[in-house]
Amino acid sequence: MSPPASRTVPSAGDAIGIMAGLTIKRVFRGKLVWFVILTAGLPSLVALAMRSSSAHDPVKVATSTLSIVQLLFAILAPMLTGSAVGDELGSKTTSYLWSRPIPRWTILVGKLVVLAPLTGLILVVAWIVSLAVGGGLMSGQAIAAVGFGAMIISVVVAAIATIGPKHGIAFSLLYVLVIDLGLALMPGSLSQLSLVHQTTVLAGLPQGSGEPPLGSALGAALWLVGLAAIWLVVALRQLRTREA
Amino acid sequence: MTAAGAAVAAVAGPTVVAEKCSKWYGAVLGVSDISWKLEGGVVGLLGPNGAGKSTLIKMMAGLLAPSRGTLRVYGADPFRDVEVRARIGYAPEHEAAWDELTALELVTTMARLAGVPANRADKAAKDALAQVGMTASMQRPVRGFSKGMRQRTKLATTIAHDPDFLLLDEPLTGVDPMARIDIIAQIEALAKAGKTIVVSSHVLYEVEALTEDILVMYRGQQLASGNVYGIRQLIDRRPHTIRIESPDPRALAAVMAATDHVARLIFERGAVIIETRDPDRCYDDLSAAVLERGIPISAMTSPDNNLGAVFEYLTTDARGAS
Repeated sequence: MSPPASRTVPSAGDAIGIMAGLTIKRVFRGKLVWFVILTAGLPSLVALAMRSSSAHDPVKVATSTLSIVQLLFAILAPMLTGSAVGDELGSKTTSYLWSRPIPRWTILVGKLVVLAPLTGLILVVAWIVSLAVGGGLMSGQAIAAVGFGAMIISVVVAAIATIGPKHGIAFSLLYVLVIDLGLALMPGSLSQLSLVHQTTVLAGLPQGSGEPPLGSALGAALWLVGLAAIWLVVALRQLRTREA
Repeated sequence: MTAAGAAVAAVAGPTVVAEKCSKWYGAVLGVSDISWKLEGGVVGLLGPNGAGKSTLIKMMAGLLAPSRGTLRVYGADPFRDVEVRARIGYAPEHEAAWDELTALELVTTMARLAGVPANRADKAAKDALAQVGMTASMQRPVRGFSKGMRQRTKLATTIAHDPDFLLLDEPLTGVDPMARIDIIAQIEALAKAGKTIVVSSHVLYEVEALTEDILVMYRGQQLASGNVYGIRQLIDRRPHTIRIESPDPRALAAVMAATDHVARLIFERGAVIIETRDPDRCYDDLSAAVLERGIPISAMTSPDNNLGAVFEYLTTDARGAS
């Protein structure tokens, strides 16, 4: 037998890049992303209806379409990110990834660096188009908040899908649609735990004529980052010990 | 720990050392108390479905951690030590792959994830695909591949990074006779190149075509290890069953009925089940039917009833004696 040769292992950066490339190919060759893009046109239809109403109010158009975009967060982020991460970790193809000389966290991060910005971009474009169509108030802070909020929700649903990959899309839909939106409607400090609520605060839009924004944008950003960080830590712990 | 991106030093010594290694899936026992040392060469893991072969292979590939005992590959724990996996090539039993990718993209991605640098990955993938006879189809999406093509592509993902140690879980299950011949030839070539190879199967004749050195498993336990000859004698006393899927099973049956080793033919929709007293000749005759008479065969499997029955007999006998 010939002596065994030396081997190299990919760096974490390489592994993330390879996983990101794989994710891009899989997402854009599938049908789901096109369904997500089509669904993201929904706020524009509502904005168009509001524009034709007699009492046209740019702030109301912005807050109403934002509510719809936030509902889309709750549906499209689990569909795109939750399903992609869940499929990767819950299917038999995991055995290919797990047997490679790469740290497992790079698989999750490699998917997130593609899926989180993609989700954010789709929803930001959807909202900008709806504001343009409906003549709504365009605020740079609010647009950035939508993009940031969508990315944070993507991270959270990816983490949830990592914990229960075989039902990734169902668990993440359940969390965002029921628990998170439920928390957003709660009075007082419980609503602070809601990603949708914090995105609304971060957007900084006035709540109706003459009313101030809900709270501090910086505080909301910190809440969003903190909530995502907690979920990521749980997911990475889960990944470290998961068997294929 | 070796820094990421750095070379992993090769360690001399046994490829695998398992010491009292057990694995449970909750309350279900996967593997029980396996103690085994693999120095090199080709070893066949033989046992019926549910014997624990895939569990043992997955532990060697770093997909599962032992519940008790230890398992080392090149002196390292493959579940926790990322680097040692660069020396392992693992082909799972299933054919699931990223169907959106072409064969070349799939093998290139897997090679890069195994540590082949970006500037060499494309060539390594093309070489591996050429080695398994997939050059003509390498630009096609995996989605449309037959079982045999998927098995070949899977083998290419296993060898593209030139691993020292290959783990092939049921590589011949369901493949057509031509793919079977090619895959056996590939494994033989890899063995000649000095690779250490573990091949699992529930069909003795598949293992026997590759090696005489076997580890026999049954119900999670190590039943025997060593030369294949003893178990062969036991199995030869029973008819061997082969299920063949073909668009024209009657034409195939007509050819096989003319031979003297076929004991029984059973028809199913789109398939024929052959019971033979001489499996080696039967496999040769099947290959000839494909090559010389052009009878198409889409899949070929051997149920493990005969092997299971032999192991039942062996273990019952052992229990009775003790």
